[in-house]
This record gives sequence, structure tokens and C-alpha cells, in this order.
Amino acid sequence: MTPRTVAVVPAYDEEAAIGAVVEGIRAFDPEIDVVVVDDGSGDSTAAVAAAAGAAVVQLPFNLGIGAAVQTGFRYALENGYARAVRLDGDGQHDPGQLSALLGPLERGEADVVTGSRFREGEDGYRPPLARRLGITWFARLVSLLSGQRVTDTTSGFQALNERGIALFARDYPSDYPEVEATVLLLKHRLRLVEVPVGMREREHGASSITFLRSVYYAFKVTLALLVAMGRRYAVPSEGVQR
Amino acid sequence: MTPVRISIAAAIGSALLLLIVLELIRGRRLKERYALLWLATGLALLVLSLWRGGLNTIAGWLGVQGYPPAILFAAAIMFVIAVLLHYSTVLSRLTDDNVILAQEVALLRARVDALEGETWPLATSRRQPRELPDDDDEQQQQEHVARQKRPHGPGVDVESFPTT
Repeated sequence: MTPRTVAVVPAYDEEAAIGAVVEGIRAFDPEIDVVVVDDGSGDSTAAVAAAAGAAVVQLPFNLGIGAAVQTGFRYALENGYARAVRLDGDGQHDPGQLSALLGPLERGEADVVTGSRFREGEDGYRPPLARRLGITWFARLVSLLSGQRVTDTTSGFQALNERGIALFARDYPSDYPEVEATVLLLKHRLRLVEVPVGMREREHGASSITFLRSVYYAFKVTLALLVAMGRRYAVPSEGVQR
Repeated sequence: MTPVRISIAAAIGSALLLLIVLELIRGRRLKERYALLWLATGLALLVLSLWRGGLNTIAGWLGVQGYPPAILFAAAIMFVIAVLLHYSTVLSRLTDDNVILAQEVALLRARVDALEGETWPLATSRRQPRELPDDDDEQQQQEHVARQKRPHGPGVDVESFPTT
């Protein structure tokens, strides 16, 4: 029997894409429960997700991606799931690649598995120059700060075991959270493994990251990372902490 | 030396600040924990304006020659910065609390809906989506109205309120 797994899908105004995302996950493995965290959408994201067979947690107002994702991990923790996978609601993460993500968890090699667009074996993804600079900068910085080589700190395509779920349910950074979350989990001595994945172009709508915003986030996240280095971290003991 | 009139005006100003803060606390419009810094501000300024010799001495230490009341301004600005910084920390904490509350509400609501066996959007239509599914549209509206008419607490009966 496979351990109970939940797919956490944060979504903000994704009514055009969310149905296919939920159906894609269910098609990959009907055993995986899907929870869509509707981050205060103004459209019918929640209704479409529910119609596609997902559980819907509807935030009363927009909290931002970090808090929305954390809501999903809290859902996973409260409902006793042994594993969680996170996919974005815009359809850029292909549910067909979930088996690659879940592999290291199944073999007990990792607490958190991240789908990296830059690991060897995947060279299809060529983001615009500014984005690539930012991604490289954070990959270098995080590798330096954490002492583990990380190639993609901005990927939201992740799989977590109970320890990963417990950590992120308790503490998860706010906007543009993946970079800080990577450092957070390495500081807590959770085992992070990256697997190469391809990502699809957005099917609908525009990315929430514009150029000015990425500059702002680059500064904000760098500052947050450096300040966070001076923070003390608890090392979670074996087993799930509640 | 500080002109006497400046000392008097500053003393009246800081005494007024103290009185207003105390009155706000008395009327429960200001919580004590947020009033402490204001009280400290008022007291410090009152002391500095009445204790004219002290003001001159401090000005001398800091190398302020010719116009000791500048120390009054400096002290006032320092306290205002302290108050603002304190507010920023309060605001940050409130933001965090707010996020946690919103998450709790959403998770509880999802759980209540699951326990009641209701499915979206019958129960969770807090925000009306732009497009409702056509079938049982009317029923949804009635459910929605019924939810809003639930009593809000003891003594509050929405239905008994005059509607016109």
C-alpha cells in the first residue's frame, strides 16, 4: 500500500488552468488526494477545482503565495498525510513527472525533493536573461550559505515526507518563498535532493513576476537570507512533530 | 541659556501630551502597552523643559553651542522614532497573527463543510463567483440567504429587524 499522499496546489485566479491541473494529478495516481488552496481568487477557481474532484481550502482574502502554500502543508499535517507534493495552479508543473519527485522519498533518501530545471539532463528550459541571472544568483548564494550544491532554488515543484511537512506547516516564508524555504530546510538538517524536471510554459495568464518585481524580490530575499543566517534553528528530532 | 518663554511653551506642550495620553488610557481608547512610550516621551520632554540647567549641561556635553533648545527637538525626534519603530514591530506581529487566523478559518471551514457533507459552492459561497453554474442557481441563492439569516448571537435576531 502506498503511503497517503496529498497534492497541494496553490491557486490565485487560475480558473482557466486549475481544472486540468487537478485532473492531471488524479490521472497520474487516483490515490493521491488533491487540495487546492484558493488564495482569495476573484474568479471561480474554487468551484472549478471542486468540480474536478479536489478538496478546496478557500482563504478569506489574498495572503500571498507563501502563506497559501503553508496552508496546504498545514492541511497535510492536520489530516495526517505521510507525503505531500506541491504543484503550481497554473499548470507549469507536469503531474507526469511526479514519479521522479516521489522516487527519492520512497527510497528514504530525502526529506524534501525539488524538481530542478537546471540539473544535468534537462536543458530545455531557457528563461529570459534577467530571470536566469536571478536564479543563478540565488542558487550560488544558497549553495554558499548552506554548504550543499543547489541548482534551482526557485522551483515550486516539490515532494515532502512527514518531516518536511511538519517543518513547512510550522514555518514557511512569505512572498517568493522557495529560496528562503530551501535555506530553512537545510538549516534544519532536512535532506534535500534535486531531481531534473522539465517545466511547461504557462498555458494561461501571465506570470506574477514582472521585471521590477523581480528586482525588488531579489533584494528582499537576499536581505532576508542574510538576516536569517543569524537566526537560531531548532533541529527537529526523528518523527513528526505536532 | 534657554529663553524662558521656550521653556514655558515646551513645558505646557509636554504636559498637554501627558494629559491627553492619560485621558485616552482612562477612556480605554489607548492600551497601556502602547501608551508607555508616549508617557515616557511626555515625561522626558517635561523634565527637559523645566530643568533648564540640565538642558544647558546636556547641550554642553553634545557640543551644542548657542541654542540649547535644539536638545528638546533632538529628544522629541528620538522618542518619535522609537514610537514608530515600536509600531512597526506591532504591525508585523499583527500581520503574522492575521495570516495565521485566515489560515485557521479556511482550514476549519473546509473541515466543517466536509463534516456537514456539503460541497462547494453551496456552503462556501462567501464571495459570489462571477459565473455560477446555471443548475440549482436558485437553491444556492436560498442557501446563501438562509446562512446569512442565522442568529449572530444572543439577543440578535436578524429576521425580526424591520426590512424597510
